Amino acid sequence: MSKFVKFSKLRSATDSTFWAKFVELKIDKFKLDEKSISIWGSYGLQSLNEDNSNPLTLDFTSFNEDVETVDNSLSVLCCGRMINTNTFEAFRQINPEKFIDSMGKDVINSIQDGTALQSPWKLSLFLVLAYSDLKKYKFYYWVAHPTPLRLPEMYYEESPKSINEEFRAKHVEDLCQGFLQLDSRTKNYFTVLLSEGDKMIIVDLATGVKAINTSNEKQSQEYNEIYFAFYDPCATSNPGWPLRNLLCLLCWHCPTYYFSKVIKFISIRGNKAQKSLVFAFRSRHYENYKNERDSLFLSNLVGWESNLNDKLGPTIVNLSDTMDPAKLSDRAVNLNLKLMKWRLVPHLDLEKIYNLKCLLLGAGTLGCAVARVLLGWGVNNITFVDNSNVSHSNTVRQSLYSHQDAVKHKYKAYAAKDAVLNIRPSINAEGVVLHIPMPGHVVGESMLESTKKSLEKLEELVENSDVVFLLLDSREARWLPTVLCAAKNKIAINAALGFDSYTVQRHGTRNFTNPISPDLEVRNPRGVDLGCYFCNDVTQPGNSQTDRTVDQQCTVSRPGLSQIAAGLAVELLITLLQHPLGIEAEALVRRDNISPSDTDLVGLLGCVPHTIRGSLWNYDTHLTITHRFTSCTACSVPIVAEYKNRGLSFVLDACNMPNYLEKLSGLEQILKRPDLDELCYALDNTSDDDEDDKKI
Amino acid sequence: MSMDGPGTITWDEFLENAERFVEMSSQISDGWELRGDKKMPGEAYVARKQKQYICSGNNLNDRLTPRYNDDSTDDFDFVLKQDPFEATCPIERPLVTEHHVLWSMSYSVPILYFNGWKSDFPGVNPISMEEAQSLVHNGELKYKDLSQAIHPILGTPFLHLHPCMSHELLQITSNSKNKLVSWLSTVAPAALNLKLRCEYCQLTI
Ligand SMILES: [Zn+2]
Repeated sequence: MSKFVKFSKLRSATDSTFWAKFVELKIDKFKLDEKSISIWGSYGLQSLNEDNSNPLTLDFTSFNEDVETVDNSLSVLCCGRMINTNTFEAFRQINPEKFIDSMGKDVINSIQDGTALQSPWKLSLFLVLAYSDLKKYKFYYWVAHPTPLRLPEMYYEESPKSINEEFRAKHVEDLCQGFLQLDSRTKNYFTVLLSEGDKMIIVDLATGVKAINTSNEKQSQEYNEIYFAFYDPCATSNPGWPLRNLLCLLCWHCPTYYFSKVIKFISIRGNKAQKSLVFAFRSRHYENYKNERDSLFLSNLVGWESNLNDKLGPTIVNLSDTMDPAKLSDRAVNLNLKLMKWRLVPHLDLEKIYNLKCLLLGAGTLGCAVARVLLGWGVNNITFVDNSNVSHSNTVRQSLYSHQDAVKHKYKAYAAKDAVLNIRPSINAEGVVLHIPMPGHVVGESMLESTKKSLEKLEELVENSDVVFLLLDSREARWLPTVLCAAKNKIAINAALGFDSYTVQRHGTRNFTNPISPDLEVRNPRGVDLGCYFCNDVTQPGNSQTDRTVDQQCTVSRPGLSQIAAGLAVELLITLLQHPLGIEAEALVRRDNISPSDTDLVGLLGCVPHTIRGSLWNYDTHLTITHRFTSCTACSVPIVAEYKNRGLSFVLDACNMPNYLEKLSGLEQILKRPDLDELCYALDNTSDDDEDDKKI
Repeated sequence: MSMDGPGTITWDEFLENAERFVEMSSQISDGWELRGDKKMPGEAYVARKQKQYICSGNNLNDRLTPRYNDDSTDDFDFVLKQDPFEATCPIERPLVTEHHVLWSMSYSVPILYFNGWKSDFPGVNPISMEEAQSLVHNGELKYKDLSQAIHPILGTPFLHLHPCMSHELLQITSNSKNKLVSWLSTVAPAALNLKLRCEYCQLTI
């Protein structure tokens, strides 16, 4: 017995325009409709890779309704049906065997009712099952070329021949020319006749089948030879998949011939049909061939493609790089940062920076400038908190605001959010309008409800952040955020401006309940022993606005100062994040004798000071340390414990009762101590801050 | 203009070399072409887009070919009805690559920019930088050398080989009649295993 005929499977390919067009149609036209849609697919005939199979290609013209707009004589056109599910779950739950059985029915119908004889493209029907993740620009698709599983077996009568062996040169030329001249849809399947006068004639399938059946009836042959031809995208020695449906069609429409004669097929291959092969097959002998024919279409349909992993499953197309406009800007932003990583600091953890959730309290000069530097580092989550509006005096100094924002008198929190989104559309930005309760700013009855809401919101915001920037314009506004950061153990970065001096500082960590003083002798204390903004104060924050003249209430700084301080604040944070000890990193004070191998002090990006103070008057920058103060009015154990216990009522007491915090923290006791001078000396020795900064 | 010296190539020489290179390419029809504005130094470049196929099962090659597995396809591997009529045939994996050879004004050396896509079409399923690095023989390049950069003429991201190593390579090839070809044949393996036909060798002697 000779070789049993098997068929090579097909492969399809989608280009990016196919999905771009689909996304457009999905949004504008199909919306949530999951009904199947008609599409076109084509085998291009310009391909140069002729040793490989020619994929069925889908592009933006696939969705054209009018075939004339798709028609291209340099391709073989096939029609298909596509179903796109709205959810990934629905996509996963579709049973591929049921899907192909129901959606592929059209092939069987077109054979049985004979329409495929005139419209041969119906035999090459393909199906597309897809799911499109429009947010991620990721597309899952799986293509099937349905054909009955059951097929009366065929055997090779002889080895496949090239057309040059089968035909003389004139006929080879006629065949190739004839194929190229066919309409792109009829290129799928056709009949080639050799007349008695040795003329090659190319006709449709219907004419071929009719010729077979008349010669059968008349017992005489009108033609010397009849070949059934099909476009074969495959390049292996086996005939390609499209032959299966042609065999079914012949079995159905000329069974006597099918089951008794040698049938010759031309497998059209190559872009000019020049690589075509001729196959000669004979059916296996069946006792009851009529029965075989009649049960042909009772079987299931098969024909799912394998994907590039050689698995039966969907192909995934990721187009986020090309289709997502936000991703385009993202890639460019990330490229700058990655260059830093690739070329200078290979271990830089950009993911950590990207994922960082930053809360900016205050969206004035400092807030705007800090946000700019965070954008530069590729930070992806920024929330602005502010309760004032953009005024005309702000726009030149507060770098996120425009004249229009001032005209509209927009809330700074919202204007800042819009501005960063304008700069980088993919960022997660939020704006929250909120007034921060402050010690010494008495909360009256009318303010009670709004103060409660503000506190709740602020607690929630701090809770959901990794880093809190204190960029507020008054000292007492920083008090509650400092308490919250201490209670929730969040990284707090504080920046404050005078006229020509600045202070930038990280707060120490507070996840302990031990009230013992830190060892003041340690040269580079760790995060746990570092102070907060209020740790070197001997008075509690109060209403600094009340006993000041107007010009003192509004801090005016030299314009370059906020940029300097904001730059330092963000760089301090980034250095901290890339330090192996993180927020616990030892604080740098003296710059001499830094040993790079001292990993408690030196991190990936170098050292992390506790407080940086600088002045534009003499361009001096110096590093100082404030130790954790066990009677601090903002971060000491009794304060944090009381806040945790009483929440709102504690905050209200702090706002309303004079000296409440001094009493609670034990500061009042200390101030009464006889050895106060010595104590102050010890404190001053470790932090040589000037009076200017204290006023801030 | 930059200084001419060992390990560099002038724009004029680059352009002359490039024109010879493209002439040879058209003789052997392997698809390289000169694009851009030849009158402006640094504005013209040699480019080729190519589609090739990677056959599965070749273990030797596997190490040097991109991975087609996406973790998210692992969920899908249906077992369907056995089909006796289905022929077993090797899986063909298409790979589209694009290589551009530019001249760097600041380094006075050629720079290779390239991209690859694991599909039949450019833009679909790009090869990441990490993947491109892993395809370099024995991992002899560090990501310092192979990284991503914005194509100076097209303004879109490409993979590229940093020009800093080109100085040395150009010094070694200083006797070549076509430094561009000598240099390119040395760096090509690091750029998604770009292969230069041996005919180009004639240009260097
Ligand atoms: Zn404190």
